[in-house]
Amino acid sequence: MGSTTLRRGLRRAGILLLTLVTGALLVFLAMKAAPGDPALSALGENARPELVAAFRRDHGLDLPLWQQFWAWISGALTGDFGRSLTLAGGVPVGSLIANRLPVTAFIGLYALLLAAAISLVAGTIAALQRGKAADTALTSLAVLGVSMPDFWLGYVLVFFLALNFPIFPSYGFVSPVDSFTGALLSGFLPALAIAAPMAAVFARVLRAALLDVMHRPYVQVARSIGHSGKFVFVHTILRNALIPYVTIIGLQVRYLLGGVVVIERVFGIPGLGSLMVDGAFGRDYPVIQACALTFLVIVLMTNLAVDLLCTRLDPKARA
Amino acid sequence: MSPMPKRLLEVRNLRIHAGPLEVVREVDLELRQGETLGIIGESGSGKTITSLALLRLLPEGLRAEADALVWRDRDLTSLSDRDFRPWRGREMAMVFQDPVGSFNPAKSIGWHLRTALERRGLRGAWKPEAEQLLDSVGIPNPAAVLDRYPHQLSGGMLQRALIAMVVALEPGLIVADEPTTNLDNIVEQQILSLFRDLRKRLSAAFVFITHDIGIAGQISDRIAVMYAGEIVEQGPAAEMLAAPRHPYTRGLIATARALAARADQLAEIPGHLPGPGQRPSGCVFRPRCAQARPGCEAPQPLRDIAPGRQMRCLLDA
Ligand SMILES: Nc1ncnc2c1ncn2[C@@H]1O[C@H](COP(=O)(O)OP(=O)(O)O)[C@@H](O)[C@H]1O
Ligand SMILES: [Mg+2]
Repeated sequence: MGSTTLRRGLRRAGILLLTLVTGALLVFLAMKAAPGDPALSALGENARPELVAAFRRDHGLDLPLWQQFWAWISGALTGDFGRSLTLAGGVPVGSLIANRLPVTAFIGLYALLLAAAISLVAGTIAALQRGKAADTALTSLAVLGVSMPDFWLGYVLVFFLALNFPIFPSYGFVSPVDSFTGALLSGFLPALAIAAPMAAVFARVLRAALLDVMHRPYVQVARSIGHSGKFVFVHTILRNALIPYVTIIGLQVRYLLGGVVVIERVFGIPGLGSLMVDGAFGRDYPVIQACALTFLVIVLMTNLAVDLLCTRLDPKARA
Repeated sequence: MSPMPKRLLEVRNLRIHAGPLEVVREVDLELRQGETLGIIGESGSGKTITSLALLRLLPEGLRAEADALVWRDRDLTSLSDRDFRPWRGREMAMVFQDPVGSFNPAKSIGWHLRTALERRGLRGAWKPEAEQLLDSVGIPNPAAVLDRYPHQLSGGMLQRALIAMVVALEPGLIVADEPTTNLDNIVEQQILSLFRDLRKRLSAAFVFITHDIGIAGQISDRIAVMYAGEIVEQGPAAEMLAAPRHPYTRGLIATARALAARADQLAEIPGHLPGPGQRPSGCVFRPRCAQARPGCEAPQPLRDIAPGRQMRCLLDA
């Protein structure tokens, strides 16, 4: 049993590493294939040829592709992502990422927790009240939630909540590094805008899973033993419905990041998403590459975490 | 003769409705302490829902009523579902037909036994008793099995573990609904002998549901035969097997004998069980009965035909 666990772990680590390298290579090649010359966009269209040549030499752009890739990836491993081409005085990209990552991680996690909390309550109520008014209302809300683009919801939230409840600022973000409560308040609307459509999906999945489990024979057995309704719900019904629920959350994490990029823009949050968008506008390829790689690592790490959680939840997956 | 043991359960005029349809009607049952009642009948005759109704575990869409449901001198019909809940498990417990589906797949066997023991009121160290329970139902290596998950055990082992859970609750009545139907022959025999052993060992009364009259005969003190939602005959097991009176019971026994003798000509009862809503008026068995006669189109009450013996047929009236 111990050796299978080890083998699984090794296999998973191998797959993770392979995905990471392939992903990094794709990011790198995509940047190379993108239209526009980074030297020209940094120095201006009419830059003198010798300046352009010097720029290329400095940034290693004259080296063969595989050497450039190797230089980038080995630097990235030590936290050195090169220097920005556009931002003041060529700031090291590594320190930019280090500044922005906590903000994005905070917003992303906040949104995920909100989505989980909302969907747990809504999905449970919908399942327990199946066919009744509460279920119908929540179902309609969910359909609305799924069909709303999150930036649109972001604007609606800004208008309605921020104007009516000044406690949630509509623009500007307090970094969690400076003030955690400030971050919780100023991050609420953006996190909610990202969370709402996800919560709609999660709640539907949870409702379906709960209704499926409720009619399993082992639930009847738990009742026949005389366990309380609460005990049966928590340990039998909800416990088994959590497996598909957590799986779907894992699958949705990549959309979460897409939402973060858009929402950071809408609410003017200085996170990785805005950094990447700014980088794209400035053809600042070291910044774009570094952001893309960071997002990739985040997705892979979350998937790993969800995988491990699913394995914990489902004994059959442990084997 | 030893004095009659105390009456444990008395059910009078139990009926179960699925919407407007009456799927079980006029069921009277009586059970004394330590006694085993076998309920037999074809699939679909209402055995499962009758036993579920006793524990108030009927699925959505089914509704039970009874004139009386007396448990140890207390009429439970007036009890709300909420107040009835503590009776489940502690007083009446059930072993189901599908052992594999009976276990919470997310939890270990140990969890199942621990929560059952806690339900009985045990606090503190549970493992020694859990291991002893598994051992008593014939599960080898109990300590290791406590750490196993349901999907790692065979159907036979799971049925034993489920029986151990029910035994852990120390209920007054154990209802076993076709507990061997989903198991292969050898395992079936083992589980049946486990039940015989439990009958000797425990003071509980048993309701043993089966569609096999031979098994019912081996294991029961008394037998009730159900047909299309009604009890058509009931009485002491030995008498019923030796001298069945209702044409349906006779048919069942003839079929079982023919099967056992591997006869070429199977003495099957012609026709089939009427579905709910297709129940004929009068005697429900009449359309399949070789001895149907004028008078059978009138509803037949359950009549006493001998001491402790009742039948729903006018043949002996
Ligand atoms: N959930 C239900 N809703 C409606 N009718 C049901 C339901 N469950 C069982 N029945 C009906 O009750 C009758 C008896 O079923 P059941 O007790 O399962 O029979 P048995 O256990 O003897 O095979 C069947 O004819 C079936 O149509
Ligand atoms: Mg049945």
